[in-house]
Amino acid sequence: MLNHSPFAVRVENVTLAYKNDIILQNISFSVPSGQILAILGSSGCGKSTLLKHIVGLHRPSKGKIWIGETLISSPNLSDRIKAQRQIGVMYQSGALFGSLSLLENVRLPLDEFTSLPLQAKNSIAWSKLALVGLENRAHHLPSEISGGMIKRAAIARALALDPAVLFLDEPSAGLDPVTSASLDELILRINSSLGITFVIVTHELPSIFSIANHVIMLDRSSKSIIASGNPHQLLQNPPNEIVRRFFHRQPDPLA
Amino acid sequence: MPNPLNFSAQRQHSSTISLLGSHVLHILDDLRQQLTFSGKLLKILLSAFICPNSIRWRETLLIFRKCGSDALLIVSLISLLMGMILAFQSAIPLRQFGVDIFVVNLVVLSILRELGVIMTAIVFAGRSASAFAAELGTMRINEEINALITLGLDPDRFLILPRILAGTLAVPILTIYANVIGILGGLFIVTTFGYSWPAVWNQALQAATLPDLFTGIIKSLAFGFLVSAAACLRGFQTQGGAIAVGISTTRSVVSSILLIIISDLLFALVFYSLEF
Repeated sequence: MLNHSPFAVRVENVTLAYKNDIILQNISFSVPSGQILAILGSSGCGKSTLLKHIVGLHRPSKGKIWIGETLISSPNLSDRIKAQRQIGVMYQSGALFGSLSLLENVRLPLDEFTSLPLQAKNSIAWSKLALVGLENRAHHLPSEISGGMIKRAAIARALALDPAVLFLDEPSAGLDPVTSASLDELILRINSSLGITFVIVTHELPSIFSIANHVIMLDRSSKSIIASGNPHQLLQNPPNEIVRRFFHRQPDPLA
Repeated sequence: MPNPLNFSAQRQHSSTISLLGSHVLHILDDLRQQLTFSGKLLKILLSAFICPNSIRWRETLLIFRKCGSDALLIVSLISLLMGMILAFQSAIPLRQFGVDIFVVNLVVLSILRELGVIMTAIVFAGRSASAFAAELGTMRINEEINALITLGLDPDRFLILPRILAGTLAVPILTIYANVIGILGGLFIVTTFGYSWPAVWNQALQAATLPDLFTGIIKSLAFGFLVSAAACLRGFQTQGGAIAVGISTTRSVVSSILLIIISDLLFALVFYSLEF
């Protein structure tokens, strides 16, 4: 599903709060179509919370979030659903439905939103599973496959309705380096072949350097973005001590 | 010089008040969530009746089978034993007056009006509704519910509606079945007191009236709905890890049993005032 905005995602002056606790404040950034953006930061800095707001699971306390030209942070439910039809999300655990096979998991959005005959829906679901290399596991349940396969199957399900933007929450978490590298390769392949924009929440440095065109880094103490740019440039010229420590894997002396 | 013991007592007093206050706030918040959930349920059910195609019938039938036909064995055993125990227990005092045939009346009336439906609803709460809470709780912590929302699917229609419909239909059917088995168990025991089957059967037919049957069925519909709704609410409220799923399951069973007893009292008041 293509949109006509030059930006696939726009976040404007967003503040996120839980009850009276501010988690992040005055967050602004945009992701041009076709780019791979990585959201970085130490554990507990609010990366996953920001992602949940961007995909429309929660509404920000202040500010606006756009997917293409649709306001996903709108109080209007139909706007939110319209925006969500343009995105796919892969959650940290994969979040596949345990009672459905991989094929049924991928077919689910097609069952709900298309009036295609079953054979056509199966064929589309099959092609998405083939894209992530799981066509021979189509009839397996999620409990019967490995963690890496679950993540790939979750990407296949997120791709079912041909989204413009794919959001991935910690795709490499819990995976060995080889599986993690093959997942990075899959993300790059989907990005180049389908032109899909990626927004990835991660703190895996090898993945960041191999796939991200652009990164933004969140900081827990200032509750804001403390760095933004190309990851290789940030590694060479870190704008501050926190970024330098993050990219050089150095412990915080105050922690 | 201030007495440290007094200071400690004051602090304890203040912490007791704050603890009490936080408990009250927690109860009020829970009540608010239950009311919000009830409104949401009403909306889902209305939209389902207006547009029956929106109901996921395959999923509903699957859940109905799990909480209905798969529960027949345990319901049979409990209701059979309940009927037999009731007959034995009531036979001793009635025999003292030489009217032990009236054990039949006691068994039939108590099973049709109260015990059949209460036992079935409690078995449903412990066996099936707790599974609803555990399933939904696990889906919540595994982010499957978030996944449904971001796929543009409505979790209420997708997860709650099939469970509410299946539960509301299964409990009355199980109750009718439990009534039959329980009464047969009780009647069998009366035949061992020296009465013939035709005599016992005739006594049972005279004892049972249509209002007796209907009070049980009406209550079973309400219990099925309330217990399923409480279980879905507790499942959806799950936050945290595996321990939270256990807590939700326990809360689901406790809430269900409380709802069964409280609504049974309300039904008793209504039926009494209507002389039904």
